[in-house]
Amino acid sequence: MKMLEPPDLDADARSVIDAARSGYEPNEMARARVRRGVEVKLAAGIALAVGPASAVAGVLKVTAAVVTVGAVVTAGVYVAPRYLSKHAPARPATHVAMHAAPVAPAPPPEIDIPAPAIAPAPRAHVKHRAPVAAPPPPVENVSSLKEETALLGAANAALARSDVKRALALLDDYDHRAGSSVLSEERAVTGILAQCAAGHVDAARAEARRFHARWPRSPLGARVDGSCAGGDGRNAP
Amino acid sequence: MVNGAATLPTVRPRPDEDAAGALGGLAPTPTDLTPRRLYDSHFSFVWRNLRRLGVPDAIIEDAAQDVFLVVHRRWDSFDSRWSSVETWLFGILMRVARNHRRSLRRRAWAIPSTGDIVEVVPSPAAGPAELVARREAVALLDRLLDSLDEEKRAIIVLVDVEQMSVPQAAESLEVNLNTAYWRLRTARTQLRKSLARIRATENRDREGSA
Repeated sequence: MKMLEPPDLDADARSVIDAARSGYEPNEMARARVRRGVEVKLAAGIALAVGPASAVAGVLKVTAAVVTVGAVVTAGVYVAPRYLSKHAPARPATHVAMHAAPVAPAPPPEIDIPAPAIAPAPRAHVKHRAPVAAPPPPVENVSSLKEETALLGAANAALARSDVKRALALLDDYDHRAGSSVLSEERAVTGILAQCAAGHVDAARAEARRFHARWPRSPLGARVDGSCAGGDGRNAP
Repeated sequence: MVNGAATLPTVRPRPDEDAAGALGGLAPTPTDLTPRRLYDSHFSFVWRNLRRLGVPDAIIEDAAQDVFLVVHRRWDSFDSRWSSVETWLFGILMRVARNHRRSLRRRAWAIPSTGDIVEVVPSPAAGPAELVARREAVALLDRLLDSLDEEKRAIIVLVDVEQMSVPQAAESLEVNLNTAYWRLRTARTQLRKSLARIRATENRDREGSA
């Protein structure tokens, strides 16, 4: 069957396309950031699945895969919708996990998750750490991005299980072990989400203010603003 | 600190096969292609087409990450049925773009708008006037593409912007050839009308200000 050749674009449209064609290139910083984000996610064992035929299923799968694995830290964005909105009621993790059923489990991470030395003392009420008490000296620096990723991934997984105490303990451990954190930006966001999950809105807002002051153009800013810290934390004096 | 950082994995090479297929047009896919090499060679392809498919700057890095994670996850599904890696990759990035656009609609309040500012990466050879012209052209093309629905937008991007053949576009979009030709025909018609409306408005504005 002979196909009808579509009418070609006119000269004006063609010239617009030709002029714009090279105008969508990424810069090197974006390239590096995305690469880092992909590597971090792969190190954490996250690989998204998108069905070839179903776009809607694809949405669920992509979201559910990330959430199920634990919304592990990324360089670009956190996907932890439980804390996305301050208006959204807390839901059990299984609510999202239900949608994850058709998703093939991500391959296990090929990293050694360190056994963090976690203080057993529960933190029932977490106010922001006062500067008067200097943190204990690092027991052992987190030696690699993999380990940082593993710790933050474990903290996010604890958050996804609504195990806030565990998440905060892991974050404390991260702070003690990470001499100079590669993922400090991501750690800050996890901390804010943990404060939200613990119901400590004021502390979350205070951390959000510090976050925005330190990283005013952070791609994670939207995640912070989408948490209970919201815009108030950013705009408060 | 990053000495132990994970790297994009090197997946086993695909079996030696003629990945170029019968459609031609694009460079044959090297048989030793790996996700890591694909990242290096096709990051720009992914980035620019995510933007052309309407993924805003605020979330494009997240979308690009997702594309390469899906590439890693689905690497085994890339085989000789695809005429080129670009047609396979575009199918992935189109779905990722769709997901992110939908997600963006749900949480539009959380994403800062960049307004009408179009960031164009300067090239060493381009002078200021050329950069301005390119920025204007990108903004205009964005408006034209925004006037199309998702299916028409995709085929214009594939055929008229990326300059793939219609059979390759059909393969990438997973539609039959007749459908692809029909979409291209209606998309071009609509795009021409949109451009004509924009030009008419520009002319009216010019005459009004004269």
